[in-house]
Amino acid sequence: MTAPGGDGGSRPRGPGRPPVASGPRRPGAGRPRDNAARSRASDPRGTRPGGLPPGRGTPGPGTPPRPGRTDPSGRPPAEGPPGARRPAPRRAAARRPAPRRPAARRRPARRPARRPPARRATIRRARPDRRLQASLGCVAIALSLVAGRLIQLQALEGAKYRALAEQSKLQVIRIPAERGTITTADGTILAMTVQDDTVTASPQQIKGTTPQATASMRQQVASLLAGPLHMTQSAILGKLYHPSSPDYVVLAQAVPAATGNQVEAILAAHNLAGVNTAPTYVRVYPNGELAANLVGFTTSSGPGGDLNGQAGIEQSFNSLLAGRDGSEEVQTATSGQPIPFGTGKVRPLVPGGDVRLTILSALQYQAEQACAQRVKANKADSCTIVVEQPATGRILALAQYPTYLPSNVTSLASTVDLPVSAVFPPGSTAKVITAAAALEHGQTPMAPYTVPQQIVVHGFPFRDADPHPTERLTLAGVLAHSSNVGMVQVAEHVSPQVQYRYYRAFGVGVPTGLPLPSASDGLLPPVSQWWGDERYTLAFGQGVAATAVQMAGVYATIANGGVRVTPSIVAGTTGSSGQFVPAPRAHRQRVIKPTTARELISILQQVPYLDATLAYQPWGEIPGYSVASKTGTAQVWDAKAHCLCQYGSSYIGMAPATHPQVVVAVNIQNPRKADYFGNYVAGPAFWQVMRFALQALKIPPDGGKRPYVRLTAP
Amino acid sequence: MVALLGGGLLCLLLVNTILATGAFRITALQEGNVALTQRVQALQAQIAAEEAPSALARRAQALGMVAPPLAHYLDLRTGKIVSQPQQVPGVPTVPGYVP
Repeated sequence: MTAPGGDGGSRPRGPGRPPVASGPRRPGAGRPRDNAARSRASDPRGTRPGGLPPGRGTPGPGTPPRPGRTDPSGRPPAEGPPGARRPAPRRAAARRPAPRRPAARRRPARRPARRPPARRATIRRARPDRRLQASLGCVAIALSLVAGRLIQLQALEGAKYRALAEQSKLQVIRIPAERGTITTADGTILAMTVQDDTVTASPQQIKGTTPQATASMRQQVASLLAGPLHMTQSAILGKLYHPSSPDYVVLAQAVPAATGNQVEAILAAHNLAGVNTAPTYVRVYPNGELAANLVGFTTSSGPGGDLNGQAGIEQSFNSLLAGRDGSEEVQTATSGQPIPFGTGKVRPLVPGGDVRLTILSALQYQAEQACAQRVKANKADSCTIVVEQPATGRILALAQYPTYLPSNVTSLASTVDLPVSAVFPPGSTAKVITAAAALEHGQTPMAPYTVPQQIVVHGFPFRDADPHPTERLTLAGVLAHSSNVGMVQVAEHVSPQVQYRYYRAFGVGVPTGLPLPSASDGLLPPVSQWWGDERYTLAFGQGVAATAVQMAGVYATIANGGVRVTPSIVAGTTGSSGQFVPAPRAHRQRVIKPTTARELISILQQVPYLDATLAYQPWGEIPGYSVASKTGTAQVWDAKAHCLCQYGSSYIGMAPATHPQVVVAVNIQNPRKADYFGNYVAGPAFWQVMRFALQALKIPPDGGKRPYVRLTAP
Repeated sequence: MVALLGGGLLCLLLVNTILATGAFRITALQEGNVALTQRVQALQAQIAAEEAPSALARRAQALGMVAPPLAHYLDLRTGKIVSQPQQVPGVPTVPGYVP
């Protein structure tokens, strides 16, 4: 629409405007600008006949046809008389509805029927306000259509579209990281994660148009699912009619994946909606109780069923095992299909890492069996067995009884890891510590002692467990016969500070370094807090408390030639990169001289022989192997009776004594059956586990020769 | 011009259709993947349970097997058996031991 106004001005037209047949056009009437445009368009070659006024694009009569000229329709130039070209008249006709106004004014008589001048003036310029009104009306009609549609969408059908939008909105999908496995050194899986299904129902979707239809639908669902889910129909119906929330109820948890698929297939076959299966992660312990005290257990929490380690390795390596959940933002269609090219903010998941322990599953099993057998045979409270490799500090078995099923934890008390957290007075097994200190401070294995049945030192009376006449024993004899009276005299040669230092150097009273949440340091009071006879009781392992792992460490240090290797329980981990990362090399520290260690081993090699010949307890006799061992019977504080009237029985030994490669430490607390001596109570477990360990570790026999050590003094 | 626009629209439709088909396929494959993962895990758990030392010991005992009392070692330098067979009876050698 051309703007009104410009009265008298020439109205430019298209370039192909035909010449007006009647009368010459006033060149001055046209705007030069328009003329130029016209000439450009109509005369592409720029060859303009001189006689033509500017703007006359089409050849008039008398102008010869230009060679090679094509008309806009693409036809070749028509042959014929000049001015008789076919397109020209047609174009003239087409353009005629909008000729130049001046011409029209000038020649009203010639075309009165075609253009009523009055009407044209009305629309074009005479009444601009009406044109404004008309266009306003058009706009108003268009806008009202839009507004009407808006009302239809927002108000009339608003609820429907809101519901649809609700369904197709952006969803954040959680991609759970699978918790890693815990395996033994030989690859036996102690803890792993499996997916199984949780079957949920949405009662609002299991609904017919009438109550009767609803009832029959729900009855059908119940009867179909009762079999696969191992539930009664009434139980399913009860959950459908009394859901935990209006639109959600859990029908069954921990359903095997196969059953979940079966449920889905059944429902699909009967075209029933409203029951869903969702995969959930469950921690399984395929070996049951094996190393449960060490592995720990998990609990699941949160809506996604996140598994959290609550004890043992599961707790201390929780973040590594758990990994990190990923998430993805997707726009999903009403059908639940993700829309491709959605916004798609993705946070990649970090898969859970794996932990490999130093434990040997077969050895662990044997140790646990031995523990269980000894506890039952002696009516004891508990038993722990630690098997350690002296050269590496690796713990090959960490057994206890009673233990628990990690998949079914009934009480937290049962999940305590006894070998690392329960402390007990070590008794005679700790005599090697004071003996080592004495041997490195002027005493020799041949140093003579007079050992009566009882002795009073600085006002404190001490006596030996077994009645015996006064004997003359060497230091070796004192240790091998495990004489308290003798050890009290040996301790006289060691200052309290030195004794304390040796205890700590052997690992008692210091952190074990094991990555276990409940690990105890043991109880060794500093010298300033020693009172009374502490200096002497320490010589035979009373007045101090240590864990089973710490006591195994004492003997591992001696077995390793006096170099203490910090014990380790984790062989390595596999992180998110999938690469196995071995545990860092264990810290090594020399505690006693190699000669002292050798002397102690030679003395301890006498113990199995003495036990077998004097007490008929041959638990250190393994054919083909030389065994160095020590028994211990400690008095334990009875919290109920308020007396030192319970016993703890120990048997710790190493083999083969010529080059010790394995240390087995057995401790049994509160045996109540008959005898409480270490060799009788704990010995059989030692014998069983040590014999098995020598086989399992393929340690060749060393011939079992016992060095001669003089036990009696002249 | 119209042909170009039409062609473009058709191509766009085609691309969208292919992508949508891909999305359906991905969903179906992911479901299949979950099912297979669950199957693998179930079988792994089963294997681990069968491999458990306790399960092996129980089944071995059911078959009438006993643990070997001691292994024999052959010294390759001397060609002699290091462990002496007469020291290795078929039953525990320690008197008074009742397992």
